[in-house]
Amino acid sequence: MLKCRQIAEQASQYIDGELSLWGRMQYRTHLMMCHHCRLFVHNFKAGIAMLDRLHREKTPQDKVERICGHVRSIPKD
Amino acid sequence: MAIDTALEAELLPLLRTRHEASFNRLVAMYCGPMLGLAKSMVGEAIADEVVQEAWVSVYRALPRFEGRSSLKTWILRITANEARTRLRKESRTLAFEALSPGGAGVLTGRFAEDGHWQIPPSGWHDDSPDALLTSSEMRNCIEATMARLPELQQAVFVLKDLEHYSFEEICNILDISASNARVLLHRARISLFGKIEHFQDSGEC
Repeated sequence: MLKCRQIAEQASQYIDGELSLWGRMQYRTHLMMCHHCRLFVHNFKAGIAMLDRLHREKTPQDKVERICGHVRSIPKD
Repeated sequence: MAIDTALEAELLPLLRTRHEASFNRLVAMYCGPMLGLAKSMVGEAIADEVVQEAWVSVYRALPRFEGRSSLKTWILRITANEARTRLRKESRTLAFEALSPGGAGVLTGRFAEDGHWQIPPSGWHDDSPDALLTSSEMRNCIEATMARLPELQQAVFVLKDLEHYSFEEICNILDISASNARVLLHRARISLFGKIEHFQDSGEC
């Protein structure tokens, strides 16, 4: 039986699908019984999704253009 | 992140002959991801210089590209190496296993001796990404937290969670082992999670 501490420690392996079948079953069983850990995993994933969104919004296209434009003008000899 | 294998295969013979238009096409394709990676390793201020140096190296090395990885992975690997060289020049070393405040430490003290939550996670008011991002203080706080993560933690996080590379590609790009990549990724995620939770609870960074 996994402890809550192990749920936190293995959270990345769980969401990345890297636990063994048995490990995943144990993990899910704990989540079914423990609402604190359900909330933890939920929030852990929400945080990653938020950063992903922020990243996509923020990709500074003008800066990319500026640098890439410069690279194109580097003398190639 | 999807790698356009067909397009790479089409460009490669031309690139080997230093066909300029093809090189410019390559620049347009991969400059953005290179900049993201460089920024995570050396910071915003000198990321563009690293990217430019990396392109010069790519241009010189292209005729010798052996195709053991995708072109994109190879280019990002060169970028990571340029970033490392730059850090060494500035006498900064990569904080490989550095436990900055954060990592596993964020959750220390949250568990009782028996392994149960002592301070359980808090419910967030609204946990959709959109809602979390409506606060500009929250945005600034998270960006600052990202920037303070040790370089390799940042790099792995950016590559895996923001650019969606596989662990295999990440290990290839950063020249680290798979187990290291996983540890670094988890630490970065936990640090960011801890900061978001703190902000949700206190309204402060």
